[in-house]
Amino acid sequence: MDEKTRDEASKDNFRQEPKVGVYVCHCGGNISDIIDVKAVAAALAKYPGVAVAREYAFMCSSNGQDLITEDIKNLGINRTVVAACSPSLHELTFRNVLQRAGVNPYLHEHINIREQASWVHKLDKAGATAKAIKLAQAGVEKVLRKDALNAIRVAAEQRVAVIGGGVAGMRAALSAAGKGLEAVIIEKAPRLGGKLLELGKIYPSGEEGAAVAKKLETLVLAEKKITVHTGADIDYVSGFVGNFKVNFKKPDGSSRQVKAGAIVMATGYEHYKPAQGEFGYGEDANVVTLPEFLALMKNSPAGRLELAGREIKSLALIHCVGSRQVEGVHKPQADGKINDYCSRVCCSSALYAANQVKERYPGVRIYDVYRDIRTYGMQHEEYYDKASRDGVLFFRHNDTDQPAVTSDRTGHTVKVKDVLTWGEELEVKADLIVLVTGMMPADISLIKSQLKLPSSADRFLQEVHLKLRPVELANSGIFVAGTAQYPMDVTEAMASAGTAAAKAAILLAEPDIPLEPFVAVVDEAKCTGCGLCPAECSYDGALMMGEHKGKKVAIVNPALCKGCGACVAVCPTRAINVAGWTLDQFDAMVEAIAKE
Amino acid sequence: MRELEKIEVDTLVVGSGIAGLQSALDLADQGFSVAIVEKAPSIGGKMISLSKVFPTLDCASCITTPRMASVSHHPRITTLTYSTVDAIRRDGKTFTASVTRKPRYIDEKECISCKRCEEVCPVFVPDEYEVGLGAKKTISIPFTNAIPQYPVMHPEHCIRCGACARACPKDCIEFLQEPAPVEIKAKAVILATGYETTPMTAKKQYGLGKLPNVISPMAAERLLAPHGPYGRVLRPSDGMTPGSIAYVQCAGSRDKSIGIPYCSRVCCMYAIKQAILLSGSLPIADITIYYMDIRAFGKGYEQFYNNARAMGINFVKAKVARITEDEKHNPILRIERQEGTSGPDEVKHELVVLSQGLIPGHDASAFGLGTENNDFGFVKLSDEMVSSAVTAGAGVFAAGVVKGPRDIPDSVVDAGSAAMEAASYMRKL
Amino acid sequence: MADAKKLAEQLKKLNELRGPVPQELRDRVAAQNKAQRAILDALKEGPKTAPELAAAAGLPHDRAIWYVSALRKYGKIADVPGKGDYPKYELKGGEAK
Repeated sequence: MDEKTRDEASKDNFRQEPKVGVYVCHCGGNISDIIDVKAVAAALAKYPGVAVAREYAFMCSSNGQDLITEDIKNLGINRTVVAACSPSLHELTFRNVLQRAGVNPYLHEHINIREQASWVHKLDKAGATAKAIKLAQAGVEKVLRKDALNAIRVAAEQRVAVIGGGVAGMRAALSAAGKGLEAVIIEKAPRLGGKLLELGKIYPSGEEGAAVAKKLETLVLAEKKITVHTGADIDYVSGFVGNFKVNFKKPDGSSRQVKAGAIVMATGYEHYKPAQGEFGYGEDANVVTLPEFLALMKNSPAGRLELAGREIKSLALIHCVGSRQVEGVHKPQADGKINDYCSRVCCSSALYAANQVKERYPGVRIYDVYRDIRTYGMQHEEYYDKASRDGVLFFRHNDTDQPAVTSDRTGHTVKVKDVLTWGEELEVKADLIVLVTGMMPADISLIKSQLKLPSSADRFLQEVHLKLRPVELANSGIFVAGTAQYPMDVTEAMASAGTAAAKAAILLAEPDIPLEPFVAVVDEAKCTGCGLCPAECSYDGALMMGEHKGKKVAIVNPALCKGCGACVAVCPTRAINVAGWTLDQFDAMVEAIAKE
Repeated sequence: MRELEKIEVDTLVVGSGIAGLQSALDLADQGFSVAIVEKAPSIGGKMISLSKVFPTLDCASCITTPRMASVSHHPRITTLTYSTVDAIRRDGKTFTASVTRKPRYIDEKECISCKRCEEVCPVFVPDEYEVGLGAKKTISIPFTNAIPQYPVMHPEHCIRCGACARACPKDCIEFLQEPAPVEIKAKAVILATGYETTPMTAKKQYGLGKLPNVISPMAAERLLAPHGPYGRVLRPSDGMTPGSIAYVQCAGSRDKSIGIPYCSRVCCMYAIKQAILLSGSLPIADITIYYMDIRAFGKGYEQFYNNARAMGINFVKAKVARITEDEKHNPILRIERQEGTSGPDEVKHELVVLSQGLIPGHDASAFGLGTENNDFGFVKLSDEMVSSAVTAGAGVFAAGVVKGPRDIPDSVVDAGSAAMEAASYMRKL
Repeated sequence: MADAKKLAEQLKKLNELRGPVPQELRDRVAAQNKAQRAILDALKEGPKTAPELAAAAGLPHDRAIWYVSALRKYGKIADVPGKGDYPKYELKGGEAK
């Protein structure tokens, strides 16, 4: 069915008398172990307006979807209520079912009886069942009052703006360009490469970080579809899916604007900076971070590892500095939160560095103080093995028994309660302390606040769903690539960036983009032109006062409206509603729930 | 052999686990046509048989079934299940794959998935979907959420009673059905052949396959799954609710003695997840995880691990030397503790799960497409510092665990980039 | 419904192609039928655990729980709600006393 005939068919459905089908999902046992799904279906089958009510093990499965399709075909069902999991998971799945069957996809209501009933009322099965029935009945009342809606289509810029020119940014631009899209890399540093430029030899390939950056940069510069802006200082990012605008200052002070249909956030990470005095950092020159140590090793002469001219004969690596922090043991960051996450790459990086030390300076003694060695990658276990073979001495501590560093004239002493020797308190002396620091997201607070981007508890950008939509942000048209999302190594950043480009390419596969039709709609007959609503609107240009048939009324720009409902709340005459979420629908739902 | 069926698409995807499904969708949504070939009777791979998945504890079905449904409804995706890729030939810029549709012994065009054949079939066989813990019939639909919903007959277990044929309302049982050849022409190939778990013979001293209450993690997934073999967690030797359950980590990973020195990346997390789920369904059970290092390195994983510890799951740093059993089939673990008190120890549990590692599901180099394997049989990339999917074979890309162990979130992300590399390659042809 | 004549022809052809059904398979199916009957008979007396069914049907414990799983799946028996080390099973449809 092409779009036009489908729209026609949807209208026909709409003209027909409403016939609601209710579908109660067991969600395996997530719902049915607590809620009596048969009772819910039976109660709904008797509810006014409902033509059929069924229950099934997995409504989202192909069989479950077929149940709905069959009912549409055979019983003339033209509105559906699915009582199942969260709509964020599967509302779209069921809208697609309706669409395929020729019913307007917005004549569907998704009721959440999992998170809102079965999961939260595990100990009250009867109560959970009663609540599920009420919620589903409210859903019926709502869907009976729904209108057929059509997606708003906006023309999209056929261009991807990639913010950040490190590995992830370069890979995302290359992949997007490979598909034929224009890509613009906007990088704040004077050159491409990001953090790679500072790192020495990196695993798994053993190349210099700068060499890897150079390889990618060569590919980027050879690609005609990619434009690169380095030294770019972003001052304002605005717009919406299909029509973003990234404004930045060039090094010469002039302003530039890039228009893009999609944005890839490849803004990367910062090394964790130890607090003043953390293991002596900042107070003692012989306490350095791993990235600082890599630079030091690079600058040391062959055969002699040295710091400020003094030879280093022994060093201690302390893992998990700034990662896997423990509440009550570690000092929180400026925002009051500890870094309770694992930074993923540091164990492998540290042992890879230890291998290099042993190769270049075999005489240097290395102590490795850790909680768990997390060399998870294909070749990484070999770094660990090699370190053990080469005589690196390992000390293992528990989360609550953190190691401590003391310094005096004779050098540094690391004290560790070592579980490998059954909890003995051990002391080792070392010339240099290397803190294996983790990753924190780069400071992108400006862009985050302008585009209202979500972050997770670990402060990295928050994807919509780790498995279903792993590189998409809740903001439509904005994708995340690389370490802006979570710590990862180069190979992992490659995969993430390629996928971010794939999602951008899918979004921009057609010249216009469908947007959700849940936007404010003004009933001009009821609008008195009082002007209260534009003041409440937080989206530039979404709602303004204008004229309609010679009368002053509020006018909505559907492409800019986010459907937040702030205008609805202040309207004294109920003249504004958000399509698909009208006040009449809410009234009817509340009544259904409150009814005895 | 039946008549040769010919299919022409942009990309051939071998394997329909979560990586294969996702890369097919990411290509088809960009406008490319895709054919997926899957050797099992249903698409969905390993993931569809899992209970819930870490770190969010979504049910695996809730994540996989909609992906499976999207693939099967997609106008640009053709799926061939219960089919094998016998060979792939490269002719210039085109790949030609010789595929065999294995006989299900039913007429797929007529079958309405009514299950009557399965109901009347008198022969039970161990159900491999339930890792042998449950039973199915000689003719049966593979599992509740299978796509497609066609039954498969196993002639080696058929007593030729004809009951299925008599019960079938569409007369579609075909006892004499033969394999059917298919030829698929494509411009690019994505290898997504996934993994198997380390064979149970790898660590003989752990008794997997001999001791009834020492089970595989896949079996444990089924015990925890909503439609599992017993409908609840029971141990296989006698149907008892286990009161004390142990996990043995690195049982088939990080172990040079069995030729698998690498870390399998998923075992720490699935063990923690299963332990959390077990303590949900068996609130009074004692659950212990014997481990070397806990590798909770993904987003939200460390917090998941911390939750498990807060729930009272015991994490014991110890190596397990061997497993025997007492007369009641209670497994006895000989362990060497690495913390607390020193020295070896014997501990009794009622059920033991061996956290097996991952090995390649298929030798991709056997297709003869110029791809290379690493030392452990996984597909090698041509330059992993530049692309995460480009192999040494032109036009051949790799998605998911075929390149080495990775978990579901990493595989899903990986699949998208494989699709993107294939798309770029095809555009430049 | 299959045409009886066509079915008979198919099965005959099958015997020609593959030889007779192996005795081992026939014995296995006979044993399965016997075990199932014994379990279902035992449940007519009332709900029982897997070890109790094993004793009643003369089966090893692990085989008994396998049959329980099979009979559960195909709707012949059901779980008896309740806790305990060994859950009990009953005939489906209230056939037990």
